[in-house]
Amino acid sequence: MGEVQDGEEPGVNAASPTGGIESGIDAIVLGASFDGMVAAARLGKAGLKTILFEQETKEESDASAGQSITADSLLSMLDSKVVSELELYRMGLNYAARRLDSIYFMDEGETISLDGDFHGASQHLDDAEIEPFSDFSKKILNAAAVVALPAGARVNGQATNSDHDDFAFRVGAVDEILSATLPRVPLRTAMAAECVYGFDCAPSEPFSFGGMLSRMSGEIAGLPGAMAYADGGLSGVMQTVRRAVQANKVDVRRTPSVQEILIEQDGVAGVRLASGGQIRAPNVISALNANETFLDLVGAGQLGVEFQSALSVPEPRVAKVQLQLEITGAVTDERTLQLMRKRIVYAPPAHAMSEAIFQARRGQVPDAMILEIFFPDVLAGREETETYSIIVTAHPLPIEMADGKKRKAQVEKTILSLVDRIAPNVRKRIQSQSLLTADDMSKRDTPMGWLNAQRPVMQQMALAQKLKDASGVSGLYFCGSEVGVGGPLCGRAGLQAARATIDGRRRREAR
Amino acid sequence: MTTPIDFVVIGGGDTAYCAAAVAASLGARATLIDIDQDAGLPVAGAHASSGSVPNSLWRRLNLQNYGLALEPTPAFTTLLPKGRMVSTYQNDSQTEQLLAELCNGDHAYWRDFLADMRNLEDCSAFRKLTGFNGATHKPSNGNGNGSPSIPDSKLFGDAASFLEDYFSHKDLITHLLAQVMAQNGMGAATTGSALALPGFFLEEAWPQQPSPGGAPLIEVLRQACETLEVEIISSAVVEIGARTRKRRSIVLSNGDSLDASIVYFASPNDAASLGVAAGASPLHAAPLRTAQLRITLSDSIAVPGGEDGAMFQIADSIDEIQEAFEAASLGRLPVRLPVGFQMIDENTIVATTHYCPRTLCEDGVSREWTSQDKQALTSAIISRLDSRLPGISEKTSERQLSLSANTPIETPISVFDHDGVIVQPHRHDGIAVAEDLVEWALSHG
Repeated sequence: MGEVQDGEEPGVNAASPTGGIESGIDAIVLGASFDGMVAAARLGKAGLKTILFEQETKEESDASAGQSITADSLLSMLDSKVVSELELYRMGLNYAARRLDSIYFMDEGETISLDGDFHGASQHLDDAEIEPFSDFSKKILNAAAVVALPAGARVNGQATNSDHDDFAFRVGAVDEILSATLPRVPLRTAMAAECVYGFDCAPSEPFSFGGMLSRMSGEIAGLPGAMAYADGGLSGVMQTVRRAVQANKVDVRRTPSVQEILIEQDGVAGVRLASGGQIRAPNVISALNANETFLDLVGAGQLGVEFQSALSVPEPRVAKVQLQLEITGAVTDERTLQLMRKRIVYAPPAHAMSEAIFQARRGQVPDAMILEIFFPDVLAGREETETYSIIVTAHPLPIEMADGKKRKAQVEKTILSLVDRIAPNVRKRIQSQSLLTADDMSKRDTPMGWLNAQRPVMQQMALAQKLKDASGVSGLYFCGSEVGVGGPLCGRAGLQAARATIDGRRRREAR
Repeated sequence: MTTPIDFVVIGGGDTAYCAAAVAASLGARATLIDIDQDAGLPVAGAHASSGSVPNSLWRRLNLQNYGLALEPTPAFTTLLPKGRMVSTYQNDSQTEQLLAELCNGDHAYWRDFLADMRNLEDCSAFRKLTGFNGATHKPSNGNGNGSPSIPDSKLFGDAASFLEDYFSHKDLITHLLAQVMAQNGMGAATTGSALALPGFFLEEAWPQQPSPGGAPLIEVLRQACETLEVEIISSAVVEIGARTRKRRSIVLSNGDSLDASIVYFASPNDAASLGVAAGASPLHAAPLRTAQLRITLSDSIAVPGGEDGAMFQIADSIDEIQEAFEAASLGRLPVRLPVGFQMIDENTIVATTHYCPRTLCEDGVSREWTSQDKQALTSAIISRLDSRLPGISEKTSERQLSLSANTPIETPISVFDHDGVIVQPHRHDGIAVAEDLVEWALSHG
């Protein structure tokens, strides 16, 4: 956070005195999420005079106040255009580990290893599975590329021969597609876990396979469908984009907060601040969540009936949690270290995954969960150490985890008992453990808010399309969490919002 | 033996017979492979038809020549606990009137709701998903904008919250869910279940049944097929060949084979079970089966509400429908089984439930259905009927259970291929769809 402090304090009062009107600004970006920062940096780079508001509500600051640790994750999608246009490598982006192999642990002691390149991942499989899997992975990557998530998600499921697979993948159930394509149960179970992880869908439900498309729709370090770990983890990537924000001369502010997006004659006129002052600008890009953007800041009165109705989609019901562990004791044997260099997934049987989703939707802590486990120290090359941290992310959990310690203890206990199945020796070496829930991370679009709940995939895609299609207010662009489907830190939505802003401005100037 | 055939319909039930007859009436050489008869499975449309019979079909096939007399099914009625019941009727004002007495205020939204459901036909995402762009059987409302108040994201959501946007009375919502979900085998809170709603409320989806003493539609269509010289083969299909020179071979279980330029599946299940084209795309949601119990009564029984010909459902609550879906998809027989039934005549009831697991699962180990399981299912259905039709278990003289072998559950979505294979989507307006799809296929084929 060191870099932003310069921008925070001094900028504020000087620039917008109480009740005053500030003008000469081209664009205002609300929310310093990854997409918000991407949008701001890109606008700054295009020469637009841009202000980025690190908007934070009370609820959010309460949530983050007691929180000294942050969630971490592997990356599966970081838009390559974001990386190149914002020169993120020059800003310090570096992958500690790329193209991570995955190993799937299942009940009955089954394991499956897959190479980090999903395209050629079948090399560890049985002879009988190589061909079906390579066919499967090829089709999925093709279909996922067509889906073009997150912001370009379009439901163009027209059933012609050419996109027949895409169509089936989008509407089909995980159970059905996998049993039709892969010959053996363990591999199906592993792939079912990939489909369900992070989404509100049971493998037996229609549209559940969309999770796989979403998961595979990005690329990381130039490789579609792969996994990587950045230096410094998620926070590390956030820092590089912060540097891009600063390098592109974006004015970063925290207070006074924005109270209203001003609309005049169906177009954006600027924002009104808590101080009573205004900042006039023809473009506002919001990276806050949809309800806050459109209902709180714009106001329902400015929106069409159809758009308002689109906003009233049911709230998500399930989310992930993350358990961070510190374990003591050096690891010296090469076999264990090899395992620790991989992405480890625990995949429960398909029926248990279905049951888990049903339980989580009802607000219960499920008996089974999908776990994604990695060792950030080992991925960052710190292998010879006495303590290791382990990041265990579990899915699905009920979205409401607010009812206190007892439930958290239950969640921790369930996760640890599952970890026990994979690595029986870990438990007694645990030095400390902390559980992060979506509540902790706040349900809103904080930079680390990727633990946030997701809706069912197709619903999320349709919602994203609607929000992106715009609210009918010219000069207002949206890149909040609702237009992202899938993994954390993609940046495509932010980049697209910035480009749309720049194009719109150019068109206006041309007239 | 290979015989050249133009148009081969694979399926059973009234939609398949309709498709074959329409194809023949349009000059195609049509063959119907009736796989239902062969498999001994419950025949869809044996009593109530799959939707209404459009006038165009009536004229095309001269159905009056066969003495066909149909009347609309009088009502959809849900029998709720404690003697409560809700009905909907073909006549909108009749429904409105009933709802006005029953539910505080909800009746005011009934027509809006119906209009929205019917407009969804034009909703772009919905049409694309149903794969129904080229051959919509329903004239477009003109602007093609669909129903402006319903975003796609809601259609991809669950049916219960979709209905809660319109109505507040729990009994009404339970009724609608029971009637629609029970025919699709989905849960009330299942992702995507909202998509099953619109088709149910189309005007063309209202089923008809023979007037007293009349023949069921399927019998009349069978006669029409014979008049039009449709070859009817009762056999299972073993294999559908690849397409070569615009033709495909169809291998039957009796060893014969046919050659077709267009293969028409009357249901996506049949296509899926053969792994063919669009059918191979897994559009079937849950691993569920349909059970049908045919009960012969020793003595007639009084049906609540007095509309003997209604399509009845027995359901307790919204949650029950979801729980039944969850239990069945996890391999368990639901504790409370949603059951639908219809009186075929004074002494015959056919009860149907779609919430039976495909395979049973105990402690994570799955197994096939045994005769004991089937007995348990039979008792579960009878005891459910008994809860609303007291005394039925004593009056039962004969019971015959059939359990579908294939997956009965479909999302109300299908695709049709342009590669000489057409798969009719599962819809409530099956007859109307069959007529339009065949006509479309032959004019574009």
